[in-house]
Amino acid sequence: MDILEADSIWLEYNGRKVLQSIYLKVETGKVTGLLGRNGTGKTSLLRMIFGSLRGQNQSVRINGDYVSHPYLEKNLLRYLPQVPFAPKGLTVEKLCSLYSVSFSEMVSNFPDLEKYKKEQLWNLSGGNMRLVETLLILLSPVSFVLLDEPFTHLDPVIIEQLLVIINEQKNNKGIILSDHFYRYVLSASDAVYLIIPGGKSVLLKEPQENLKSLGYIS
Amino acid sequence: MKRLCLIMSFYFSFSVCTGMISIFSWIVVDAPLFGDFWHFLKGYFLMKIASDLVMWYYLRSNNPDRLFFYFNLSISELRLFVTAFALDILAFLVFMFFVHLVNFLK
Repeated sequence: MDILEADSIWLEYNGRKVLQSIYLKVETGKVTGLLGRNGTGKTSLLRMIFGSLRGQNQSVRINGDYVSHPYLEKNLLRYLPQVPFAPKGLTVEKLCSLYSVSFSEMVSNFPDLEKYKKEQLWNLSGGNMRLVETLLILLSPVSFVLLDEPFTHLDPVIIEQLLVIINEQKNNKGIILSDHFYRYVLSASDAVYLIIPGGKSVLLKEPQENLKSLGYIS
Repeated sequence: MKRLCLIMSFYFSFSVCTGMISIFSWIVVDAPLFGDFWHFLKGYFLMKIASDLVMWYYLRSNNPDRLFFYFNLSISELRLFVTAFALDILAFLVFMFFVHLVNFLK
């Protein structure tokens, strides 16, 4: 079992504290939910864990060993940003090959994707494009995946199928799941953190009740 | 090799633009050849560093999320742009080699 821990995360923009006193633990075999209201710094936190965003201070450790830029470590982790990230001109098949993801595994979960094998990703609808990019990250042969709003643009029936895959994939990786569809996040997660205004993380013991008492839901 | 191909595909996405800058700058200084070309190279390198830095800034500010595609493959931003810069220079030098060859054979 691998453990990813992020702590001492400190991020300020123009003197405004975005994140401070953050602690987050992710284990392979588990899904860790990350919730927070708009502007509380969830995306920044994911990018700091990924290693592409440097704050005033941060510490990311894998099994207790400090890693300065986790994304540069081979087969350690991958990150799904909120917006399309694949370059134009690449087919779905080519993308799968570059990311070492099996296209047939994608199709076994979503048979409708079969017809897009030779299609360029950017020619797909917004929903299908999001689905393919999410699967590219989720099915990657890495130890951890960070999913930033994976359910955006997706139909409920697709989201439900995606939750099944998330549940399967956690058997061999640790997953951080952040999305505003909090019910889906709660249903998929083994542990849930809430980023509260002021940029502090709270591990929720009783997620549904804690979300109410902390003002995330009414 | 896979990484180099990826970086090349990244470079090809803006190679027409940077290639045009190179050729245009060469034409602007009266298309020097042979001995004069070596004098041109010094200024050319400085100009390319400046123009590629502008290109870097432009790509970073307009579509920074695109870089995550490469980050996910463990390619850093510095490696991506420095290699693309080297490919850009190499492409121009190869082009100029053939220009010299054609002029030499005339």
